[in-house]
Amino acid sequence: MTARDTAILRVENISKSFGPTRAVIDVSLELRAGEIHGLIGENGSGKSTLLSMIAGIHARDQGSMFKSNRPYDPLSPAQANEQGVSMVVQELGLVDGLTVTENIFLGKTQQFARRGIINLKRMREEAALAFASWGIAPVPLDALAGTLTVEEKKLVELVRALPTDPDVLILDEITAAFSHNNRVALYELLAELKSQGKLILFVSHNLSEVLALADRITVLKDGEKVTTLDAAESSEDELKRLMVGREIKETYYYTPARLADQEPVLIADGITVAGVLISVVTESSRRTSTYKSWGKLYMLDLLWVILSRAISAVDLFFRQTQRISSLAQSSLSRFREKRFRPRHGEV
Amino acid sequence: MFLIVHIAADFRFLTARNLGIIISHAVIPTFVTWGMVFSFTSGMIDLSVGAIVILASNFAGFLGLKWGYAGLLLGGLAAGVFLQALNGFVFLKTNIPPWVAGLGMAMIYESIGAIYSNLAVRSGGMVVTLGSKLRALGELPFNVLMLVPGMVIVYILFCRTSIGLNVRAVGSDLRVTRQMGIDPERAKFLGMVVCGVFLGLGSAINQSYVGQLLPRTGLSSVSFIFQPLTAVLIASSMSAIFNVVIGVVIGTISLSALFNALTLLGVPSGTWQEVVMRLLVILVTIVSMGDEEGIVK
Repeated sequence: MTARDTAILRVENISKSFGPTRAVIDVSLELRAGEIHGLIGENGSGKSTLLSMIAGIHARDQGSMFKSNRPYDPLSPAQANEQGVSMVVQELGLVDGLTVTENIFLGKTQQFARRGIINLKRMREEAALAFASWGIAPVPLDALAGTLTVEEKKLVELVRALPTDPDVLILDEITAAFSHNNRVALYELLAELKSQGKLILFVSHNLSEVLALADRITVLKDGEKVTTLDAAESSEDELKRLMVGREIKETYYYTPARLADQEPVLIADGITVAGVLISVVTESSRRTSTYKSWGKLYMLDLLWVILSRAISAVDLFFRQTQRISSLAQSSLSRFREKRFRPRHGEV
Repeated sequence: MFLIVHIAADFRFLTARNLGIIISHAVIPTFVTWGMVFSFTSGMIDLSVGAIVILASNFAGFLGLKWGYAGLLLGGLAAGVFLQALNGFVFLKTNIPPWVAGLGMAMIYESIGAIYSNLAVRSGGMVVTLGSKLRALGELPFNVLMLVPGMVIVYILFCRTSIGLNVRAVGSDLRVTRQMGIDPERAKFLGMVVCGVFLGLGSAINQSYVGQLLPRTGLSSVSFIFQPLTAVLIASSMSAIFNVVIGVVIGTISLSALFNALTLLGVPSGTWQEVVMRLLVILVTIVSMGDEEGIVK
């Protein structure tokens, strides 16, 4: 038996529910050192929840996990990190108010501290070294994370996950945000990590990418494991069929819905709340059917943000009537950044 | 603009003596604002800061009369740290929004001050009065000299220690900070304690400056927060240019200069100057919130 056949991580009969929703149901996996393991499934199939449990973000309801044949039960991402498991999450995972350097070493600054005072210069040098040594395109180290593009943020998250030299690296849909060059750099990095005997758990909606990268692929559907198969013996059509549960003829299991010529997408004009007139006009943006189906939820969410801001504004302005379109616009921008992450196209 | 004020105020604004007064008047709000940077940044909007400064000033004076300047500083620090730690405990354990719980704590601290004042008067005395003793700390040049070590300490604590880093992280994104293994409650509590240190120092200087500080009631101590709050907002709006620690100094000196100019121009203090302050809070809030506009990249 070679090192590559060794199960570095075992997940046994793991389940997780959020209220009445059963996100992951009785899933078991055996993941080997030195493999890239693809995890695929439709939206809501439980991929992110499963990975979050492995990374210590969510606690499991039942089941057990073993890492290198020892019980593995992280209570937080930091604990998972200490045990050699790092994850780059699907949603944005940086603190906007901190610099790139501070984000990379957040929670790990002791190594740069002397008598409690952090050596910022050394921390910056280490950050620069991390970017260079992994061949990742550098990002301004003193820039606030909030000023970075989504791609830059993902690069920083990747660099943050690597200095701990994890045995298990979990990448949850990060390539969607990457340019061609950075994608190629990432593929090379993954190959390098694989050759070092690391396990890479890789999630992507790009099936050809998963097929090209992964050694084995596990398919999830409605929270349950459908199967695990060798990538070399599979095809896109087979993966689509397993994910959806029926034959799919289209080029992709998503059918991006084109919104008609209805720019702008959202106009909430003339809403009056406690004497405050709000006027919101968004930019148009290309969105898929995913957003369309969730539109009502997002709309409620957006209106809540606007209302909260409006009430705060009333407090601040001593109930004087003001036009606060700028407040609503900024709320919308942040709301969109947090909630509208496109599967296709870009915002 | 300064020149216009200078001319309009019969050439009394840009004199060395007046500039000294302006900077001198900015010292106490600067220390209080530095403290508030730690609590407010972590999301602990504490409206009892004014009541704490009044109580801590009296306690500083009380110990100062016994042990001199050492007692003055020690009294201010002890009271500031204790009361802020108590606030932190209450805010974090009760889960009441900090600004609501802070108002409650302000009422309690005001009441303690009032009870002490009544007891002192009934026993034939008065609230702590320094007279001509221990006044150097609150006057030029010592009060201004205190700004230099103060600025260095605040910078180190806020920008170069894990306490400051965690406080900034918690205030910016609680979810990610927690995921990175940082205990948000601990970070917030430590932020409150550090805030207490600077409130304590400000209180000691305050007691030395005024000599006697009468307790306030009816939440009137809350108005104390407006000048530091405006300074925090000014510092935030300048954060792209200046570190917030320096921004606070610029903010408090600017406000001190504004009030000084208004006084020299004959605007009555306590009424119209207060109106100017409130308007300024609104103006700076609009400016600082305007920075949040933008397009998703």
